[in-house]
Amino acid sequence: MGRRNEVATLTAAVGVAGAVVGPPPASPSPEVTGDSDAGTAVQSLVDGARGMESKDPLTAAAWYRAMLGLLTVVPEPQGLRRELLLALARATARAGELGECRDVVALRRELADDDTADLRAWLARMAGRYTEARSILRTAIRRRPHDDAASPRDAAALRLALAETTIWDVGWRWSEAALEAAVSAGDPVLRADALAVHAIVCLAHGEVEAAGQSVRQAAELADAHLDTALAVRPALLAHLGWAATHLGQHTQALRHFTRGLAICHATGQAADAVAMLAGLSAVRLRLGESAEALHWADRAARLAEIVESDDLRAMALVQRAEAGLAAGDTVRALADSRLAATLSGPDSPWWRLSWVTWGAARLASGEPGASAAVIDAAGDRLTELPAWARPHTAGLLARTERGARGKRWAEVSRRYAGLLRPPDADGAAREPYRLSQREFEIATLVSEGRTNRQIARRLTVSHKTVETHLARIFAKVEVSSRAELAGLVGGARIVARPRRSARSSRRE
Amino acid sequence: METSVDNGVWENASGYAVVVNDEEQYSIWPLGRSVPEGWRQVGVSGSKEECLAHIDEVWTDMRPLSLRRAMAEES
Repeated sequence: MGRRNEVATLTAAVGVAGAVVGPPPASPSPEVTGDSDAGTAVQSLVDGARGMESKDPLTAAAWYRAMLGLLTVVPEPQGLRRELLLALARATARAGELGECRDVVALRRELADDDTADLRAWLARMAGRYTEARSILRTAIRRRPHDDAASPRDAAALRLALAETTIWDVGWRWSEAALEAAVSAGDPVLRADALAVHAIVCLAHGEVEAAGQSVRQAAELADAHLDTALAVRPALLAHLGWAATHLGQHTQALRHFTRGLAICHATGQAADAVAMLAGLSAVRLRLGESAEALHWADRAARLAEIVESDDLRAMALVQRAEAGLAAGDTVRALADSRLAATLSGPDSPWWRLSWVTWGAARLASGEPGASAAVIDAAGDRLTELPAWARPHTAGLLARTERGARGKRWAEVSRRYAGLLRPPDADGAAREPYRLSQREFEIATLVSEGRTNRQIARRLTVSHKTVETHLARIFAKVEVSSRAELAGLVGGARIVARPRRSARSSRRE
Repeated sequence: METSVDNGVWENASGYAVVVNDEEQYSIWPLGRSVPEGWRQVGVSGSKEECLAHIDEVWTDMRPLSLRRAMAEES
């Protein structure tokens, strides 16, 4: 009798929750009202909500909340409250409700540290506390049973989360262990994400070839899965998009970010959506479309503010500042990059990156002395920055030095020239790239952050002509982005061929 | 010589120090560069990995200092 009542109450509860938040996509099976016992009934209710978690985390969270509220009126089946709390924390994390997620995880009397490690680490990262995130994950990995055989998926997810803390940083090599764990866990989506993260880590260290292979494999896996399968881990598409971006595969990058954004929208996963929006902005910027870049960065910044993650805000603001600089909006770029530097602490990689952007904005606003601040943040050898950010920063520093003290320009440019390509390409000093006068002119204008339209106006040629020149320049100097090109110009790795004299042209 | 500068360019900073802020939250900072405002060195240095291993060991209660104090007063 008591049992029947309990089942009836819980079933009614689901009815109430359903009325509030709409029916779940996978309705609990009808047998719960029959003779099956309460434990099974409850389990099937929880399973129903769980099936919703990646499709509609906000609704799943409302369900869990409703069920938790009802636990005060019905006797609690063994361990159910704990299970519901954990599920609620995971659903709120997915939905980007950081405040509520934090509150639930803080119920330390009810939730064991080991159960919440992934969530606590994620919250720490969202707040820009990367060391804390790493320490939590490392401790959790160490405390797991030695063989990890009990749940290889969870073990791989923890290792991947650890590797994920390093994708904007250098000096950590955890992505290989994550990849191994993901392969042995036998989960293709997890494996694809581990491959993408590994690719980014390789690129941060300048290993382009290894990165290219991983990206290909990851993209194949991602393309072979439906959106519903990737909704469990949309971050995979953000990672894949960033890796493609840094490899200069812009079309691929746009495809991954756009797909990821659609999945995040359809499933209400706000935090991951910020990364997609910022990524779309970054690709548009590399394609020279600064208005588009500004549009996406603006959306990223606004969503990051709603999500209340300082680290995501810093990422979005750095992106918006870069786009603002390219669009010639120096005032906005100054404000954005400065705010980003304030929001992030030295423990977050965005702190460093926002200082570099702040330096660029100050330079653009006519403060050549800004380089001191940039060097302070990035280190005078720039080794604290990922490899893809170094050429741009080296070019920036060379330009500030040139602006500040003309005399030291030659020395400085020689010094930064070494930063523009990894030494393993070949140790010896390379010949500079030789461009035609017109190409050199365009490359210089690009390095000053001008858009194709601005360059076209300046040189009184058509927009299309500039594009054609630029494509040829990219091919000649073997780069794929405007930032890289700027780095080469800044480092004096590009020179103009002397104009043909009257005599030599007669000879031709 | 210039080449020695260039060759060293891609190596990571020679070492890192463990640093802590006012909330007793830990981080890692390259040696030889001034520590940012609000942070101080704890006197341990080494590779990134060594520093983090030290932090794993000493940083067991991750609540910020202010929260720890507030909770201690409550109970």
